[in-house]
Amino acid sequence: MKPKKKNTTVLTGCTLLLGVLSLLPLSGSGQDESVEEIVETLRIEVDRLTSRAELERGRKIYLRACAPCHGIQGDGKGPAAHGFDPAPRNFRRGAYKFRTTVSGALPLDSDIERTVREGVPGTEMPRWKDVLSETDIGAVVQYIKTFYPYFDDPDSLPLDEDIIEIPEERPFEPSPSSIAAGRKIFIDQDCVKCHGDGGKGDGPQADELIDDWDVPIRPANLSLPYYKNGKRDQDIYRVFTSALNGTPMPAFDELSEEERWQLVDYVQSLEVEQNWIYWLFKENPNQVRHPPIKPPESRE
Amino acid sequence: MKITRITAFSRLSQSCKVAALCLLVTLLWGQSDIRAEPYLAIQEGYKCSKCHVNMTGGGKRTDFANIYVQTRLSANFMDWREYLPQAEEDEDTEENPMKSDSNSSFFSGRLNDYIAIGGDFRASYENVHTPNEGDDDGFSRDKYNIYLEVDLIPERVIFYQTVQGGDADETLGLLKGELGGEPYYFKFGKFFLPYGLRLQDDTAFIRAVTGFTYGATDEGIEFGYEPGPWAMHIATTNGTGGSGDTNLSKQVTASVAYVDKRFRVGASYNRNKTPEDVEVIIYGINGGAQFGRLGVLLEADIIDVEDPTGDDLEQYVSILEFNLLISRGHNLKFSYEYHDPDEDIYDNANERYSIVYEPFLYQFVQVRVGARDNEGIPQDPSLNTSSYFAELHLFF
Repeated sequence: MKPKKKNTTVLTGCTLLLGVLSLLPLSGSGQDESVEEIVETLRIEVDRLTSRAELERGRKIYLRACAPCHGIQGDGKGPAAHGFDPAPRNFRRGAYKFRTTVSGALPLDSDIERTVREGVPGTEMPRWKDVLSETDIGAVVQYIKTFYPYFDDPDSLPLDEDIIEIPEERPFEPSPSSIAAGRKIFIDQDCVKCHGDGGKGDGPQADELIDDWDVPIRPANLSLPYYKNGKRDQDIYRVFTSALNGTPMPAFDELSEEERWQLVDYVQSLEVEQNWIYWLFKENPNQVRHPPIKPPESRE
Repeated sequence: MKITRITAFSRLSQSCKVAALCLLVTLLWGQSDIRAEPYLAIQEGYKCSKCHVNMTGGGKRTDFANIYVQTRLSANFMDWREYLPQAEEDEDTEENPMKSDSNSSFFSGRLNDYIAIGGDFRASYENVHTPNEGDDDGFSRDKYNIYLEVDLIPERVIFYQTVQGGDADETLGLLKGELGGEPYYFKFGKFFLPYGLRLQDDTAFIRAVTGFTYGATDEGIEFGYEPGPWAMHIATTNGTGGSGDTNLSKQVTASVAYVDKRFRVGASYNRNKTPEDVEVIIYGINGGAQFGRLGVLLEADIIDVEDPTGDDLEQYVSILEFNLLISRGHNLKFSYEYHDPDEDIYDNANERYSIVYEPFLYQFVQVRVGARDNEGIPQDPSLNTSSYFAELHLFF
């Protein structure tokens, strides 16, 4: 993410801070302590102004761009939310599916920003990166976090060890053997019970699933050319590792890194080749898509 | 198409003319061009209320619709930050600070938390060929509307006004609430009647013949309830098209629709009585379905005019429309329309075939180019015209 610039209010505060500092004599230990106190006081004030200004900016964006679906109260009950399936996220519950933190943990700011930026394919959540600036995305995420008070509680925030590192580089390339190994894991880990043998979301338990709020939920159809959380190898790896909070999808953190990549390869291989029937009668071009992934030849 | 309609009427009996004229006078008032795109609603599985402040369609778009237009509907998103002159290089970022930092290209039409504006502007060129008479063409500024929405109590009490060329077209107050967790509303004032599919094309037979065009508002009250996939609306109005009411008879219009993600089925009903005691009843079915890129729309209506003199009239009118979403923002429309102006007269039907390519090139910018062919009784050249046109539509 690009560095954020401070807004006018904050810049004014910084200028004021520098101006005050430049007027202060800097000799003598007693005076140094006095300067440090003033600097600290001003720094706290600048931080407070920064936070307030960013929240106000985020609120304005939220009311125009998010509230129609997520509601003014952040409860997912905006005026346009009726009939949406899946329903817009209720921010007041603090359950975020798409994260780089361990199962049950709150997301990082960058996780929420990624969802806002990229959207959620297959749902009504659009991709905002073309429309909103990075600063606005950052501000609206700060505002969204105000709906769940635990984001303000340092004890509730994810610790360093709760953050999942997603390797940008794979240790090996996809191959028939890695796909075969991934299929074995898919079966051994009971993925078929929900996602079905062909990954179409039609497993024997698919109709019985409910989320943490007793709302029926369908397992993902892994044969589609898009997934809600993205279809890069790293996106799929992230879902295995972090789980989807609020849903029956668990974390498979007991799997080794190699096994997770093998599972990624198998899941990627499940995509059904889309013919003209799919193109004409099933695909909705208006739907949000992540950039298409061209499967390596070894997967075909 | 106005020529077509008048000419078709000229073949009717005198009492039918009176009835039809009364119907049109009753329903048509002024001319406006608040238009909706039902094919988009079917494409996405949305109710009209999802995208229009006036829940039965047409007019100002909701905040959600503006989001939809900028993030899903248009083929391209034009980011004004990209073509602005580069600001001075910022040491914190290598890119244009205007883009990376301070501003977004998102436009909502919302002036503040309580007031929002919207608008529609259409300009077109049309060439019409009439057999034995030759071609006629011209440019026209078709419509220009500005909408004002004042959310006195957000999501609950709304004042809504259309300003069209300085004249008010639609003025209404909306009281919204929830009944059993499902939305309902009361609408008061002068508004469009909730009948059928609100095609953007007022010259379509199902709109022009029934009279439920975007020039037809009436004064009264409307109640709507939209539980789950259902959308139900009933309105009682003066039946005088916005002019003063001089009798106890009122016009009743009702519609019901079941809206699923992939299809929609509905029915509509309208009854009105003229001061001459001519009763006009219009009823019909409508619906559509979406199969991936391919969308189908259908509406069929019967217009039953009961004249106390015994000179009754029954008309049939319908449309079948196919929409192919070639790629995001690029729609190709084919439609077939049928109109039987009098069921008692054999072989006098009018037909119209249209093909229209209508891309949303950028957010808030639509271009429409198309051709139409009318086929009617050969004795009347005006029923056998063919035309081609191009239209620019700016909206927000």
